[in-house]
Amino acid sequence: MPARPVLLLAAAPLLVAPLVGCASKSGGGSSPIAVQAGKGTCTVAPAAVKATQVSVNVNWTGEGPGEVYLYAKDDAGAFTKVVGEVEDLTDGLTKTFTADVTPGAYEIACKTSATDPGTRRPLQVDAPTNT
Amino acid sequence: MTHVVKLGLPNSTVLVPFRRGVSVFANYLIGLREGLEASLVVGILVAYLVKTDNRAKLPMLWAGVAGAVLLALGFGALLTYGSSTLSFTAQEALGGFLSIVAVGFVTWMVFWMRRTARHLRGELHGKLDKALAVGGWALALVAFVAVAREGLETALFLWAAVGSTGSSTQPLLGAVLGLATAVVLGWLVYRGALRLNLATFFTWTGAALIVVAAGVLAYGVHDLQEAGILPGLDNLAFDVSGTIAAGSLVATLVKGTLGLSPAMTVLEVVVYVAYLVPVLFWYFRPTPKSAPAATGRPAAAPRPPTGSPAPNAVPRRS
Repeated sequence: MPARPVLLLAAAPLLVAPLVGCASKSGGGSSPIAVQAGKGTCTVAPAAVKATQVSVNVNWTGEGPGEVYLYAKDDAGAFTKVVGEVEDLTDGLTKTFTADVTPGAYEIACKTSATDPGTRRPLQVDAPTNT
Repeated sequence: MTHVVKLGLPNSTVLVPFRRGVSVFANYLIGLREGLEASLVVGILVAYLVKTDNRAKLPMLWAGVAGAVLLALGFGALLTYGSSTLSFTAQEALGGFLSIVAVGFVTWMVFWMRRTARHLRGELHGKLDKALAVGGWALALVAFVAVAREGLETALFLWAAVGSTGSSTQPLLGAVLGLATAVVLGWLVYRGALRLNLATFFTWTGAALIVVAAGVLAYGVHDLQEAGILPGLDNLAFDVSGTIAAGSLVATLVKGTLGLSPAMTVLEVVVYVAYLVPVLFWYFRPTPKSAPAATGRPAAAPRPPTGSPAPNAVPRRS
């Protein structure tokens, strides 16, 4: 029965794909951003960074579960393009995500579900200065 | 290690006990939801092996499950504590890809079980053993994929819960309890399935797996929409999250079994129906030999592409 080699061949990419998709957090070059999120609350500090990669550390408090997204502008100028997210955030949970960014305006959205428009805060990204 | 900036929780002595209870429950529901689908699939697979007197294949099945758990936990730890990161697009694309592969495997397996059921009814026990010689591997692989699919997301959630044990053990406790409940429910499905007679068992477990697979496929499409690989993320077919919140018990149970969410996109719904209806129809269609074989004559079954050994070639053992 030829099924076994076919199945193994199909399964092989499963093991390879994660490794291919992996990138390294640029050592020391990630600009850390702290987001304090909750139902109806969202604070982003700092609100402006100079970096090519950001590391967003999200702490959720209060009623959950919640999700936090980093949006970039789409072609129409609205913030709908997801660049990074963390979900399944419950009271007291902290999760971090990393995203590559280009200079421009971004938005952080603290939501209680995928369809919730959420509480949004702007994030300004500029090119890193060469010291 | 990522630099963690911890901001203090607002203090309120009255609200804290209430919040703790709510927090444990919220984490419990997430653990339950994450574990339920895989638990159902594994429960059915174990029942299948036990029912067909193939307990010898069980270790292989458990190896598949264990492998997926370890892989997910390891990869999750690498992403949480290590210096590697998976871009959002890559993560969603991986989830979507895994879901589609899982559906492919489960569908193949359901129809293979259906063919095997015909052999069983024909009392060709020797044939069954031969068919399962490959089946053991296949079942282990299906179990692996079923667990690995939700595995990474669950692992990331668990590692985050572990990380917050400095301030509270509630998230980890809730999550573990939720996963444990999912395992218990899978075990109950296994026990219930065992009590069915063979024909009913094959009919209903196959149908159940097809329904679960439809949900998995829709979820995979959603992931690919989030990754931007498929369009229409904001084009909702329906949104009942005002009535049934995404974090509620009802939503959790429905999501964990049927794979339906309170809000689904048009593409998700289309794919769900486009898979479920034809596959169920094909699954329940009368086979050429639908009556149990009184004479034990092998079925003149349509030859599937993967090619079971020809029933007519093996001499009947009496």
